Formats: sequence, C-alpha cells, structure tokens
Amino acid sequence: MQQQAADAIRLDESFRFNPFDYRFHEEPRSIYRFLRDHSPVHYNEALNLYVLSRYADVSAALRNDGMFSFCHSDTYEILHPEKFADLVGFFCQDAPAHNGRRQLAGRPFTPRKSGALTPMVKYFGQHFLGMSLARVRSSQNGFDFMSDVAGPLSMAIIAKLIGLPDQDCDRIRNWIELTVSRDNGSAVVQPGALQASEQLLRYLYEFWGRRSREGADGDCIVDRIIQVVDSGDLSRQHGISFLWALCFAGQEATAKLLGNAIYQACNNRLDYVLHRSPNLVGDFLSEVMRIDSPAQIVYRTVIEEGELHGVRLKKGARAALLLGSANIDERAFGVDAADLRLGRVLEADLLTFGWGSHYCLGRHLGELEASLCLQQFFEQVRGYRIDLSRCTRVHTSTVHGFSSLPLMAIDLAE
Amino acid sequence: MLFWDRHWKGPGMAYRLIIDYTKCENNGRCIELASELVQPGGDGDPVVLRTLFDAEHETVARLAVKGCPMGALRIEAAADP
Repeated sequence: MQQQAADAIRLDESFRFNPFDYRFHEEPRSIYRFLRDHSPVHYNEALNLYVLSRYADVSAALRNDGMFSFCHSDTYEILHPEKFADLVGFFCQDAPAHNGRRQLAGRPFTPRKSGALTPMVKYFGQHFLGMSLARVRSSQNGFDFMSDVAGPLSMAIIAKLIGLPDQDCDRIRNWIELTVSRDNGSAVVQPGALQASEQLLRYLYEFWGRRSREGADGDCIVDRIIQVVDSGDLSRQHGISFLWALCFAGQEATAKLLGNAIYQACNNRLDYVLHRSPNLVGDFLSEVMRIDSPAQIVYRTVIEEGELHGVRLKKGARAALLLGSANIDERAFGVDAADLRLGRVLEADLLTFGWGSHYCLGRHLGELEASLCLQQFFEQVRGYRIDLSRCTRVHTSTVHGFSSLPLMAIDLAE
Repeated sequence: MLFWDRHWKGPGMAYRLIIDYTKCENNGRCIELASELVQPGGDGDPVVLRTLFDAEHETVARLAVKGCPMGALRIEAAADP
C-alpha cells in the first residue's frame, strides 16, 4: 500500500476525524472503532463537522431529514458553488420533493429493468475479463483489475444505458476520477479536479446538443430525458445534472465495489472457495457490501439544533454519517461484525444504500454487475495474489476503494 | 394457518397498508423491512399479505412506509373487521 499511511493516526483525545486524510482511506476500521467506543458524536471544529459512527445513530439520522437535511450536497466539499449550483441543487432536496427525481427517464433502474440487462452485462464482463485473462495466458503476467476490468466494465455499461459513444468512455472515466480526487487532508478542490469537472460538464452539454439535433428518438436515457425537457417538464440544466449524477454513480460505486470484492476474496482466502462453489458469490457479495462498501460516508447539514449523547449539535454544521462504521457496529451485527462470514443472517437493516427517498437508485444494477462479473471471474480463475506494494487507493471524501489493484500469480482454471 | 389468524389479537385498532402501484418501482424495500406484511407476488411486485393488521405490526409497517424510496406505501386506520 502507499506510504501515506505510514504514520499511524494517534487515537486519543487529540484525534480529529478528517475524511480527506489518506491514512483514513487506507485503514478506516481502527478509526471507526475508536469513534464508536469513545466519541460517538465526534466534532471536528476546523471542518465544522459532526461525525456519527454507531449504527443506531447513523440509522436514525438518515431517517430524520427534519434535522439532518440533504439540502446542500452529498459530499463535504462543493466543486464550485457558482458554476455547479444547478448540478448540486437538482438532487439536494429532501422527501417528498426528491421522490420525483428518481422517476426521470422512465425509471431505468428498477429491479425488473436491471434484470433484463443481464445479457449485456455478461457480454461486457466477458469482454474485459477475457482480454485480461488472454494476456495472462500468453505472457504469464498479471493485470490491473481496476484499470483493465472493473473501471472499463462499469463505464461501458452506464455509457450504453445513457447512450454515450463507446469511444468516449476512457476520457469520461478519466475526468470522473480526477474530479473526485482530493489532496491529503485537504477539503480544497484543487485546480486539476475543477478543470476535469468543467471538461466533463462541457462534454455533456455538447453531447446533449448533438443528440437533440439528431432527433433524440432512441431508447437510451439521454433521449428520454431530452424528450422530458422538450415537453417543458424539466430544464436542460437539470437534465444534464441527471446525466452527470448517473456517470459518477454508475462508474465510481460499481467499479469500486468490484475491486473491494476481489481484494476481500484474496484477503480472506476465499478465491479457491468461490471458484469451487460459485453459488456462494451472492453471500460473499452481501458481506462485501456490508464490511467494505464503496459508500463509506454520506453528508448531511444540521438544519435544526439537537442533542445526541450529551453533545449539542449546532445548526448549519455539516454531519458525516459513517455508513461504513455503522455496518460493522457490533452493537447491531454481533461480536464478529467486522468479519466477513459467508451465510451470515443480518440482524439489522444494511445502511450501505442509504434510506428513504435517497436510497441508492442503481442498487439493483450495481449488484447485478458485481455478481455476474464475480461469477465470470471465479469461473475462470482458481486463485490469485494481490501485489500490495503497487495497490493505490482512491482519495475522495465519500468513496472507498482502489484506483489500482494489480493481480499476480493468477491460477487459471483449465 | 393464515397470516390473519396468527396475528389478529382480537378487537382493537386495525390498520390498512396500501401500495400505490403507480409510484412503486419495485425496489423491494418494503419486503426487506416488513416481510411479515409484504411479500413478492408472482410477477415480482410487492403484495400485501393481508390488508388489515393490528397495532403489533404498526411499527414495522411504518418502517416500510418511511423506508420506501418512492413514498409508494401508506397506512390508513380501518374499522375492526
């Protein structure tokens, strides 16, 4: 792993949780445990940020949008308050106003519609996995699971659904990665991230204009949204905002989930087990989504003062709800909550996908992509190792996962 | 034994759980949160097992109502059967 994590964080009274600290990205669990046990309502004065880490508190806060509102942003930092106001404002609403946003473009992510995408997901999975495994067969070298499989796969699928051209996938993925990337310990959006986000936004406007001129009469999401905009029910900026959100959610979350699954399978020595028993992939994926989900934090704004565990929460402060900590809280999931255990019967509702009107829109598609790709992977791979010295993490304030995950010593099935 | 026979505790307040299928996008949250009251039907859409339920299941029913991403569930008070 990267050397940024070399200096261990001192977990004592002087500790202040910083979601941009690279050491937290490398190893969040010890921090989570400290917060749950010693500082369940933690406050970082410098960031004016409250941090909730216990399952009961995070769960209650997600349900209480009268106190913890989604009104500002789902990230701590806002890209550029003026340039991106429309993008952020479109989605940052509480229920019931937010409910209608989910129904845009003919509800493309319902379980039934996601299930119907199985052949396409299998095709792309085998396409990217097949190319990587062919290289292993010919050269005996490994490959990078993130840049060769997980990243291109999730981008290709969301691009196909939106209607984005195949040849643009790589640069869109690159812009997304740059946009969400932050410097160590800093909430400041650096010029590189801002530039990438402006390039992506400009691209989406140009793409929108091109589809409009061509008639927008296809069955892809962009054409359906253009039709909604043309009917006067939605502004063009808000239509673009929807595309923007789909690009980020479809690419970032699913790719990182796949990477985390491959990491956990190796880390828990389950690679040979999953190869021999592919019916366990579903159980395995459920546990990965609990103990190592890409969605570790969601942010809210305190809009009404209140008190929790003796701490007064001030109006106007931000609140970080640590989903990743809540999901491994032994108070909710038992003494072995932090362990990956196949066949676990959950004793509490998983918080990975959020709650209520902000419940993850793409959950079913993401699960489908991950489970099919993992089945294809373990059908063809008996075992592997991860080159930990060359692994790199993504550094964002919300998403947890790898930007690079080199696999080696790959034992291919006959 | 039918659900109602097992769970009806006699006279008292009764409630009605209603799914608005024009809003429902079949996320399955109601089935996860209130499996005692809602189960998948033959076509995968959620189906309320018994329309009426008593106060014992009010908490779980309200959880399903609040947890539905689409706000497609509601509870209404109903007269005793």
